[in-house]
Amino acid sequence: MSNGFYTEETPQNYEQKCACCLVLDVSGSMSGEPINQLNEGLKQFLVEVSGDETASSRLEVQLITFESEVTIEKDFGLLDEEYQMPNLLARGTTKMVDGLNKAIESIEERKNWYKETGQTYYRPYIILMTDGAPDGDQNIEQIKTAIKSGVDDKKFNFWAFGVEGADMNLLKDISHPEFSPQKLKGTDFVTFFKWLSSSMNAITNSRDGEKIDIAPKSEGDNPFQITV
Amino acid sequence: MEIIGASVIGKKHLATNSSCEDNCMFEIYKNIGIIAISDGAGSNEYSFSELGSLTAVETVINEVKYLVDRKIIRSKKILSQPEWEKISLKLHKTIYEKICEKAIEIGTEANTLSCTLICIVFTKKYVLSLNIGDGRAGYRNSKGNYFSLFKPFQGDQVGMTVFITSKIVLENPELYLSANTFEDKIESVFALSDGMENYCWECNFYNEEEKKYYDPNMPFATFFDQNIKTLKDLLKSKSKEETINAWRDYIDNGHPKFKEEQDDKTLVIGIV
Repeated sequence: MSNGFYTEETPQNYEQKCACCLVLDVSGSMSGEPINQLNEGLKQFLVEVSGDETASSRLEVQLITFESEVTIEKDFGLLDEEYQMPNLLARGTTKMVDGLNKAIESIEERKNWYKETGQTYYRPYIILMTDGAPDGDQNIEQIKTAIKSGVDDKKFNFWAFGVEGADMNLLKDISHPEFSPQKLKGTDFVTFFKWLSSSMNAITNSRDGEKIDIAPKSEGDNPFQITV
Repeated sequence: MEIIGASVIGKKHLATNSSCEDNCMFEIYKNIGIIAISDGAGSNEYSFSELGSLTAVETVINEVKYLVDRKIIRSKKILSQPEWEKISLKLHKTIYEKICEKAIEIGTEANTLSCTLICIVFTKKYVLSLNIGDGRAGYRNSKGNYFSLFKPFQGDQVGMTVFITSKIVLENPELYLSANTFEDKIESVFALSDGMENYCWECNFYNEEEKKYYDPNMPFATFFDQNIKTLKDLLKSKSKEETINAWRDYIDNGHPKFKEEQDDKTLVIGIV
């Protein structure tokens, strides 16, 4: 019952953006089933986010992969109907720290662009997915400090996820205490990305940076070996 | 003169069995309309913010009434801008002290009761506004023109604002309190928390030429035109309590987008 109150169109306000950088390990150890599962998971992520009216107009996703090189596979963009997920290939070694540094740099550039264009934005997310340990030449202490200060200074949120073979102790070491790294069940990237899209939908549907309940709704939806 | 308003819980707080952190109070006292709304800061860090927002609105209503009793605020004569600024600084100090008292009563820090504040004092001749934080407020004059009462304080990131208890506000209140006076033929006034702004306020537009986003900070006239008319009609046929209940239902779920809003929502309208 509207009782005669206004129920027509709302003002043409643009949506505020949430930058999310997925930093994905595509080193040689991901060959075979893991990389196939990762590609399937990314497609699922696209389906789930593009199906949510608010998330699809607020969430800007960037895909960074790392192996012996770091590559920006897709720059920041809304996961709308026109978005195409790339087909990732596994090869090379594990330049994880280089990948994370590129993500931090990209997030900073995106935030500057938001500011220059007069946009307010949600605190960005950097999401790491890896199945191994970084190459020996990677500077762990440097990235650990960069992540801790970035999260403490509210520049970005950092979530790390490992699949079988990942050095979970190292992920815990570089993660901020506010979000412990999680280990996936096997290589079930499809369930993981369903969970991630659901979490991102909740975050981009919120308004005030409050803590969001991102726990999986049931055990079947839980991609992790322990509950978030 | 009449004032209608309500605060309703958002979808997120409903889902987590939390309470509504917005509060509003309003009263017509000796021909002067007084509206107070406050939005609790939310999140675990500010776990008593709903108590903070309640304390803020109760205190500011009582303090303004006291100023009316002392004839410092009069219905027929607007305060000067410096006078209202001085009073606003005192109001902030008093509200902060009340919040500190509440915090001591329940054994917590004042910061856990963090909240914003909008206070509007109005007659048919003027509007006085005080703002600390975000949210929006405006008025319509007898010619049907709309105006905003202040520019909300917002940071770069969504939801970033200042609160009554914020250190920077306490240290530099003159920088973070927005106190304004408007002399005009007032027809209606309105105040809302940020949970309502996307639906009734022009606040995030895009300038094609400059390739930039900007905040027009203007009431959405078609929204207020119809709702003010409807409220006037309802008040003729229903009691004030029934009208407030109808208004509460409306901002809770009377528009498809209201139902989906995660944040708590407050919207108060005063009609001269």
